[in-house]
Amino acid sequence: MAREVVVETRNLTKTYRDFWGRQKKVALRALNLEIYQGEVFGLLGPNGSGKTTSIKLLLGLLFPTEGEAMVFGQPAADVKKNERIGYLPEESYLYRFLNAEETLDFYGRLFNMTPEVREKRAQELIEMVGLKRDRKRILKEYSKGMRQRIGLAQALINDPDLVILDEPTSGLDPLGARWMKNLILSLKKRQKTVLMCSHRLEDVQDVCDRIAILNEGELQALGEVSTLLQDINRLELRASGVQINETLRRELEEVLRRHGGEVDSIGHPTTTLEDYFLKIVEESKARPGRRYLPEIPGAGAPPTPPANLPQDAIREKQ
Amino acid sequence: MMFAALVLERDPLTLERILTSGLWTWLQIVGALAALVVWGGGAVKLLAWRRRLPIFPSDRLMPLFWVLCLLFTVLYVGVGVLFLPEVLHPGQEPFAPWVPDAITWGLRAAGGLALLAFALNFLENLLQLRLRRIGALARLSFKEAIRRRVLYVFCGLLLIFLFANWFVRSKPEDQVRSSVQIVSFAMTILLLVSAGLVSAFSIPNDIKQQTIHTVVTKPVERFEIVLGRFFGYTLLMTLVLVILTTLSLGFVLRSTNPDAASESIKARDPVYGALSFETMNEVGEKNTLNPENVGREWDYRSYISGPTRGKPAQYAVWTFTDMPGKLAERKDLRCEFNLDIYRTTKGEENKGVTCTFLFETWRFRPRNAQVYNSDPRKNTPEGANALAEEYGYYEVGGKQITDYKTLFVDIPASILKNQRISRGDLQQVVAKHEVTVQELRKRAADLIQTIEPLRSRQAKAVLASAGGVSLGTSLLRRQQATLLGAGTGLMGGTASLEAVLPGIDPAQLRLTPEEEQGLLALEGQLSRSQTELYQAEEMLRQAREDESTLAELEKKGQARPPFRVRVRCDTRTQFVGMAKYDLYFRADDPQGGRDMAAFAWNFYKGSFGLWLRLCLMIGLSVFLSTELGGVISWLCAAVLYIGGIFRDFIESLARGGNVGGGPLESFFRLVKRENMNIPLEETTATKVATGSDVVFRWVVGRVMNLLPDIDRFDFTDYVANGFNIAVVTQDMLPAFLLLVGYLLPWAILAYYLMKAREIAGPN
Ligand SMILES: Nc1ncnc2c1ncn2[C@@H]1O[C@H](COP(=O)(O)OP(=O)(O)OP(=O)(O)O)[C@@H](O)[C@H]1O
Ligand SMILES: [Mg+2]
Repeated sequence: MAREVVVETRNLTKTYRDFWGRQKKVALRALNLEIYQGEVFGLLGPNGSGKTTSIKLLLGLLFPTEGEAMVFGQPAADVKKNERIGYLPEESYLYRFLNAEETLDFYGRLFNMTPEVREKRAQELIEMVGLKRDRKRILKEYSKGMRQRIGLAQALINDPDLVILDEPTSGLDPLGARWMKNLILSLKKRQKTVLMCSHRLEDVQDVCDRIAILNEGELQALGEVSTLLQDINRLELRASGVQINETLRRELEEVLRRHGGEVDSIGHPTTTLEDYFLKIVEESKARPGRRYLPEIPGAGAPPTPPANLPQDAIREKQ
Repeated sequence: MMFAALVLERDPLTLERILTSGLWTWLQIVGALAALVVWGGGAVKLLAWRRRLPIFPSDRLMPLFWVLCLLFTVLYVGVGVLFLPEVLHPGQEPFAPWVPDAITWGLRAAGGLALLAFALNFLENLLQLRLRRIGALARLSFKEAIRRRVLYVFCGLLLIFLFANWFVRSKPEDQVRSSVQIVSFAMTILLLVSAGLVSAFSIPNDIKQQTIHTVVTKPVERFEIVLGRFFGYTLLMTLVLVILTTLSLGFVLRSTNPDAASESIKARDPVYGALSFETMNEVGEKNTLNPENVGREWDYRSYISGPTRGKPAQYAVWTFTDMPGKLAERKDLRCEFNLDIYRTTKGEENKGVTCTFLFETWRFRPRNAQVYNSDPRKNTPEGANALAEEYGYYEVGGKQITDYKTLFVDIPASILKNQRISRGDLQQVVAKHEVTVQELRKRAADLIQTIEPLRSRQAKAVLASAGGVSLGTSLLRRQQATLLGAGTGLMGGTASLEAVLPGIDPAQLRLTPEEEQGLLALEGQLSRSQTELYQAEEMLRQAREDESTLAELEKKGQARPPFRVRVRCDTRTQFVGMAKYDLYFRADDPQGGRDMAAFAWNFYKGSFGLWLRLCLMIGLSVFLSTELGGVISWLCAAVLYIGGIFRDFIESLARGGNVGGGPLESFFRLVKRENMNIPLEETTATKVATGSDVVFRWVVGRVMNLLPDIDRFDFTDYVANGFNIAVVTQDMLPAFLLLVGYLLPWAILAYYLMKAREIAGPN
């Protein structure tokens, strides 16, 4: 089943310049990405690695220095595509002199919705994000988490096909974070595409199908979470009904030695996304100039579990 | 010095002018600017600059765009070639008669094409705009301003109301004017500055606070944001303006004492004419006159002198081509004027200066003045009315003139019936005159019939009685006979007398005293009726002449000759000064008793001028802020506005009205220490200097075109001096169109700038 490509970037590069056109910072370098319909895609990276920059390029808030960004097959600068997009900014910058209802009404109008539709949608969303009691208060009085909630409501007002969330869980309490995760999963269930970036890796690990890791504006890793976290050099064996004892350990060691293996430890696997993330960032620091290059960029085929090792994917940049 | 009347230094803006020459000029100017932008864009594109250029349309329209560019470039180059001789040898005759026309039309066509090319993308995008989105954004701006409590600024105006009384003049004739001016000034400053600030900072703040990010990522056209801001603040300011205008009106009316109110709470609706000057000697020969300039109020008024021995009388003549028809229905027609006296002798200061006002329609003939003046009917109002209608003439002599005060004369409105008579009515007049002539002829004939027998009897009696008298007295007889018109046949000589009067007793022939009395009376009647007949025939002749003139004009589709007001100064050695707008007729009814209501309505109409200026300021600030920061946009808008106020002044500098020519020429003169007035020696260097000054003037002219014509949006003087502001044909609608014409190119520019703007980029 060939899935529709929702987001596609080709050689997307962004260089920030100052007023005089002098180069200040290369925020993103030659990013090639494809995001398919119905998947939850995570964009990871340390602070200042270019996540927000990529998102803004996709939304037409920034213009690429080089390369192009396509959303729903249209260039990012095109306004029409916004009909199908919902965007939650990094920090929820909404008009603070409006209350929750007015805010949603305003954004509803921007989608050229009729009054009835606006009204209905606003009530639903306010209920959904749990701001029913505070819907008449102006946003200036909201806490960070509340603003994040109304920001999310605003992003979903048009029932978008592509939801772009820039750090959706920041500022939310643990319950809120869980709620947000569930929401993303429910979006996924409804065949919506989600592009998110977050620093809370456990969240990403829980909800994302695929991730890309950026560092210093360069793509370092890209792939399915489950595959990326698989450590192919290691073997995990799970068994039940036996207790670990010296005999069993020795026998296992012997069998493995016969196959050229060695027991590191026997216990529960602890590899998490966090470990993996740290490893990738450490590696890219140790070997600057290396980057992730997909095999067949822009082939449009849905991702299949790669047969190669993720380490192999990190090659010298040409 | 303050004037009690409206001083219009420029002709009021008419709708007709806007829609004809105004439109062409606009096309030429905006087209030239558009061409500059498109060429600039093309150059940037060729040089592959970093900035995104949105002036190119979609791929679909790209071929059209290129064709347009090619066409207008070719046209501009062509015009440039035609214009080259003028640059090289300024002031020389063109080498072919069609050159000026070709340049004009070339510029117009090129301008139109350039504008179209420039606006192609904009026009394409226009279809995407949705009212609901613009409305939402406008509401947002409106709410923001309200909730941020921007409006508290306007409480400042209340302070002005409290203290304005200090500045208001106490003289009744000045009171309303000065209070209107103070209030308007305060409102203008307050509203303009705040409108400019609020709108200049709106988009930059939106971007800085990143609130715009959630807006542009919705299906919102960038230009919708600009328009939303513009309309939002316009709405806000309209509301504020209406409230403040109402308060101000209340203030003006309350602070005016009854004296001043009756003097100035008015909204006169003037009908202006065109002014020219002529002389007329005793014989009625007219000549055009170059009026004197007494060196006062430079260039505004011209002066005529009082009677001077041996010189023909000087007249100022106002001609009114179209007097509204409804005025003819009134009883009186009020002519108001405001003439300036220039005294050459001091001693007569108190004696006053008098003027004569002559009102004449196109059907009036100077020789009728005598008939008119000898007619006793002119002394009663009804009679004067009838006469005015009959002769198309009215005269007001010995009117005392006072400086700087609006005076008036009321004339019979029926004079306009004479002026506006239709051909059918004229034919009726002809018919009427024909009847009169017939009647008079018959009456004269009848009279002659009665008179004739008496006369001949009398003559015979004289002759008979003379028969016996010596020939020495025949001289007397002859005289008598001649006098009585007894016939030349009888004058043959005494020899034939016996033959004529054989045996008649003179005593029998002689008229009795009663008969003689009767004859005298009859003769008087005859002579009067003959005069009347002569007059009636003259009137008939004139009416027929007028009728054929009118027929001729109608055939050619031309208007009839204008209604004229001629003014003459009757005081020796004095000068009376006048300008075009110093004399006018009141189209409104001065005795209608609606002065207060008219003034109030006019006050609101005056605020429309301020509204236009507010729109201008908001528009400029918002449009500029699509690219510039808040402070800079506000300053730029303010500079453009203030530049617009001094537009005429700057223009006169740029147009080379100053001595010494343009900057390069002056510089050249300075370097060579040449006199500023003598023409420069023709050398290559001077040629280049004067030639490049032509270019300089052209450039300054283009820059000048960026400045708004603020004066056109200011109606304060109208209100302050009690003059009605016209809505459609003049003043309001034309000013509105002018504003649209001015803001439209800026709006298109703003559209492109906003589109090219990197919202989240480093700013
Ligand atoms: N407006 C700007 N002007 C200049 N440089 C900028 C601008 N915005 C971002 N940058 C630079 O671009 C780089 C990438 O920034 P970006 O905001 O994309 O990072 P990020 O991955 O979203 O970081 P974080 O996790 O902190 O949100 C940073 O080095 C930043 O300094
Ligand atoms: Mg970020």
